[in-house]
Amino acid sequence: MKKKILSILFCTMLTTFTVLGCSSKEEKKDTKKQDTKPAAEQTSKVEAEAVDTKQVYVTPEWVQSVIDGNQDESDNYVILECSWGTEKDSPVYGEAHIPGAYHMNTDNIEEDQYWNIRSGEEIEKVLTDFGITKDTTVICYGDIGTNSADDRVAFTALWAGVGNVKCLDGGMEAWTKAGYDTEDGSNEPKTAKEAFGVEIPAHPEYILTIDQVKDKQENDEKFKLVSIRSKDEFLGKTSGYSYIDKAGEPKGAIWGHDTDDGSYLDKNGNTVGTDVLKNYLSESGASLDDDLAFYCGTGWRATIPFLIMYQEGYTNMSLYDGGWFVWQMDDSNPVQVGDPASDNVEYITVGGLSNDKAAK
Amino acid sequence: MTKAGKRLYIVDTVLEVLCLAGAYIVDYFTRKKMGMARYVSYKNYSWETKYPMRMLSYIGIITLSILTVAFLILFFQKIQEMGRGEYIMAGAVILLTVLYVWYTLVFSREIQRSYYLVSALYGAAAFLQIVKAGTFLIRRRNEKNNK
Repeated sequence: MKKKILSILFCTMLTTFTVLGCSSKEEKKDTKKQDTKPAAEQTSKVEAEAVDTKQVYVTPEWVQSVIDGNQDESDNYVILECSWGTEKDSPVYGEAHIPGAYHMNTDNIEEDQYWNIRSGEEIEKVLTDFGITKDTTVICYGDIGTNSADDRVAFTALWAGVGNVKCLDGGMEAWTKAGYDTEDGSNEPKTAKEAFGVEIPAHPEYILTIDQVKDKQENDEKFKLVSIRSKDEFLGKTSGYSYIDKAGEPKGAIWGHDTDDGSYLDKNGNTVGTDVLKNYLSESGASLDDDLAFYCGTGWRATIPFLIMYQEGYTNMSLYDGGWFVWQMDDSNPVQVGDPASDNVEYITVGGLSNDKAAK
Repeated sequence: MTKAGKRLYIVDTVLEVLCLAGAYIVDYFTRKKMGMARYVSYKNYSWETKYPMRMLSYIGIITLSILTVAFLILFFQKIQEMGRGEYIMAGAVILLTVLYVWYTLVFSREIQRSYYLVSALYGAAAFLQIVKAGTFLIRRRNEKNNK
């Protein structure tokens, strides 16, 4: 009898935990007192050189100087800690964040079927809920330099029409290393008082759909589809993702190196310039003058070379947002498996790929 | 209860616990791990493409509700003969069925990514409890009839 009672009690306990876990979707905001004073009262008065509006990657010094009120951007800015998961479930924000930063869950900006950027209406709501209009300076950061969550959010803000978007080079790691203040607790974003200010997307040309990619492959001689994935992903040895069974690349793709392995960071951990990208492209006979469309698995990593080109004034680049995830969903799509620069490449269709290439 | 019956009872109970623990674990990792969340999302859309998920949910609710009612009729027919253990088993049947029905009706994929998996696991736990408790009652009735 005791065993029965114990087992029932155990079941009830598990059930309760599960149900309680389920109800955590409505995230409670932690209103712990912040460790640091408001920007105006801070003793640190860091000054840094002003940067151009189009400059995306900025130093911790520059961000601190914005907080300290020493930049033009200081009057109207929002700092976003960008990572996947709710504030409660994401460890990055909870550990420590830049004073005044809000947590931006990447699910806010991506729909959950193809992981593409949400519609203009949805993005407008997200941005204005965070107090962002087209005139707000948006400063994004992630935990480390190779994490592309902040680049993804920054790209989305630019696509939407925000004029001044930044990414903290090196992320929280660089911030901590620089010795600037952090805070814990939670900051509640305030909804913007005015409308966003421009119809979203202000720059639809930044994103290519799969149909646009196919059309350009057929009709645009200068078009280059650049894979920002690992070498093993590019060669079709692995899909790179636990939820993608097939491995390969869209037929005609060239390799632009991966961002996750640090190929787009210099020895100091800062994001490289177009000189490095130029070298990567030249390996496949492409150049910065081509009509470039970057893609990866679902659209995070590919935003990094886009932003590198953007900040150097280029306009001949775009993001194929669907990436390999969307490409491999249609059995009739042409794919390449292997290195197209060698004889060791096979051209088939998605339907001919095996289903055992998910990342373990 | 015979030795084989005891073994079945234990196996059934362990499976129930595994289902409930599985529901918690699946939901926990779907919220905590991006790869898991995307995998679950991918499966959700795949299942919705292949199967009538809403219809299957209703079939599950109706089936378990009928089984629970049938069990309760059996239980109340012999209520005078029931001991404390049987009451607890009946309570667990009601609790797990209500949990499954409530969760399946109130939640959805839009509210919770792991909805289909968690719902299926709750349903499995409720079904196992009904089978276990029902078998126990039927065996007990047969034993008494034989005497």
